[in-house]
Amino acid sequence: MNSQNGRLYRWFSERYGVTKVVEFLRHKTVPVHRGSVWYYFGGVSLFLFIVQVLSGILLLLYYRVGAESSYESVQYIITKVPFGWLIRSIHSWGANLMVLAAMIHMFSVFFERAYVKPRELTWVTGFFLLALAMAFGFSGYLLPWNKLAFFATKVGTDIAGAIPWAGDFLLRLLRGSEDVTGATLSRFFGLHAAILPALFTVILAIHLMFVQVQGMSEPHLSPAQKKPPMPFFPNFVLRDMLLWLLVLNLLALLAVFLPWELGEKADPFAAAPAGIKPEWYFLGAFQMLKLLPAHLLGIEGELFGILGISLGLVLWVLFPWWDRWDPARPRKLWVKSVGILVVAGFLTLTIMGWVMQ
Amino acid sequence: MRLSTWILTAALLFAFHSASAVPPKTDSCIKCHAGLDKKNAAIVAACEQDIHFQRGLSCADCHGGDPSKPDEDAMDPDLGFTGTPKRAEIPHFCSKCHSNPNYMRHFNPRINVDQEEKYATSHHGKLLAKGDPKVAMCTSCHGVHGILAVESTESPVHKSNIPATCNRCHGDKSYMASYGIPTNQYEEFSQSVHGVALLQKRTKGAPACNDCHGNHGASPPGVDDVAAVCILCHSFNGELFNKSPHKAAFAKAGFSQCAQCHNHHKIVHPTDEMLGVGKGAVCVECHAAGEQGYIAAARIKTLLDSLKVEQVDATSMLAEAKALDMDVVEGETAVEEIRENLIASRTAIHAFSDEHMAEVCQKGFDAASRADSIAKAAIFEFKFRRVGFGVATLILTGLALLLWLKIRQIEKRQRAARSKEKRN
Repeated sequence: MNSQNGRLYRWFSERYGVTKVVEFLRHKTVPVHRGSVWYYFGGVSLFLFIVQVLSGILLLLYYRVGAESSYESVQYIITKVPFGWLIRSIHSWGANLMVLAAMIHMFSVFFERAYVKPRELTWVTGFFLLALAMAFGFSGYLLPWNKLAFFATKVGTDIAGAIPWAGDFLLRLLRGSEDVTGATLSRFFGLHAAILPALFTVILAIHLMFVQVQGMSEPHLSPAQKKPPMPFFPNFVLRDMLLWLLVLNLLALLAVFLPWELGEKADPFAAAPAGIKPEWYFLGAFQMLKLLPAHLLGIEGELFGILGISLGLVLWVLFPWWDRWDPARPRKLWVKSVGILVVAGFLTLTIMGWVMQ
Repeated sequence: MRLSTWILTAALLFAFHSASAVPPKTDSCIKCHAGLDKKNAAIVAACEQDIHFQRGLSCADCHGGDPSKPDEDAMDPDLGFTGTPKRAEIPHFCSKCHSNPNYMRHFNPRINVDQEEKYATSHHGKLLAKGDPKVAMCTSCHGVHGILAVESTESPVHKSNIPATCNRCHGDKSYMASYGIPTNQYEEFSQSVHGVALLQKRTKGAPACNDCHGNHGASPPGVDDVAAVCILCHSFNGELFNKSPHKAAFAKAGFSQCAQCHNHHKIVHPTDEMLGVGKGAVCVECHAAGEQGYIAAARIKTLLDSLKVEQVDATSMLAEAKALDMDVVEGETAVEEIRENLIASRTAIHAFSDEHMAEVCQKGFDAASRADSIAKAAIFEFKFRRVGFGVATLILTGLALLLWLKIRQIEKRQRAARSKEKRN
């Protein structure tokens, strides 16, 4: 590294021990195997998070929270602010792509069984990052204060209100009142622009630190299958950047050809429009709750569904403790079956929710 | 027990006994007339629905007499029995109660008590006073026995039934022959914009005959009073007309103001073709080519037509921008302004001034120009976005290509270094 001889580098090195970090990066490698492509989805998720932060900051310059100003300010952004339409569309599409990339990343980790010892906490922090990304989506969806978002939030918070014991408290905590009002909007804005970013950044830092400390997980391969690893810098980093450029281009394509619609302003006194649907990543769970009968095993169907989903998520996050690493059994059919079942169930319910009114 | 207690107890017992001993009140009018013949039985049956009976009045309250007396004793003139009033006496017959505010207050504190007074000023009332027995008086419109409340949809004087009620006489050619007035008012009214609204669409606010001619003081408005009638609802049009040069000119010519262009009873929905100097224009009925009014009428029509063309152009341009998924909400507001301005311009016509019309239409032209600019800017923006995307894609693809070449170069160098290491 020629720059190591530079004055600036020396200045930092003498004060902050940069050499250690550079040496670490110089020797860091990334395993190369048939599943290496999945490693890039972590980086894509990170890139999209950076895009969200930057585009979100730009939107903050003009967005004014309030039942009388949110819709108008977003309308102003997309019609008057130079390139405001692009920033807003990139922010909306970026949110969806981020959740998608994080989901692909999570399922690839699951199928590669990369969560096993010693990476249990990397899995757990990753799970929470995905949950926070979805919370970002849920809170951000309401912020333009349009008709669809208003009613989708009403339905979404109603579901939260059905949770036993804590439901009423949770409902009021989320809404700030009995119904979805300007108070809800303020709360969601605070959540979206302050609380969630802070939480996300902290957990992301921990997640990345775990990955750097433990290195990337390598699947169990026979010596014949093994390939020499790839240097993290510059090979993997440059490949990452190449993919980021393509993702940026995809975002621009979506923003230009499928601009995110603003729709009509929310009217609390208007009738709910037909076919209210949540964002696609909540659609599976929403559809499941719709399909359940009114009563199941002596309790309300909706409550049964909420309890079932909650239990499933707990089991999912604790999976590294269910599936212990055993060198004698590098592959487990039941783990793969669980993964396929979860993916197939999620996809089926999501498609059903999309197609059915 | 003290004496006073004895007296009180005795008084209470007597009162109770007296109350229970009185037989139920019998109305000998109803008792006898119900059994006389079919005609009388029908009168008695109709009375059951009558608003007067429902408010506790009986035959004797109008006709006098004492219904507690049996048979014809009840109809004793000494007991105030007046019998059936003559037609000419009916207005005063009804006004005995209806013109008495102290009496009527018990039934409805807000009810009018000036019906007889107004009737006397009406065309009907004046003719009746002259001895014309054919003219309408109270029972002609309200009915005789079985009079319903005005609010009842069954009542002949309910708003929706008034045209048909008036038409019973005014549409009867032989009955009206001696008066020498047309008998096609109902026919014309039912085809008019007001008639369609009232009789077909059942619009509560639509006018019936009495809304223009009055109720009890009904009379045809004079030629100078037509605008005063129409202005009650069409206030802006009326105000403009009253300030316009037509006001004096119409009075001089003996024209009946609004009705001169819009007709009397057959007031059809006005169209823009009524304006200007073309076919179907009413302006040319008075204004000859070359006259100042003719030129003004032509200009007014041109302004209105131009505004309509501008509206169509702006709407279609905006639709084109919307079809491209562009947000043109401000353009839509401008198009709405044009629509509102067209309505205002059609009202402004009644000033009969091309300068006033131009002033009013200008706001519409400005809105049209704004909508057009917004739509054009949106269409340009649409193209700019696509071109911009193309340029951005070229740059990003170029950068990606450069990165790919750099990766290949680095890896080639690394492979060469590894081979060299192996060889050594």
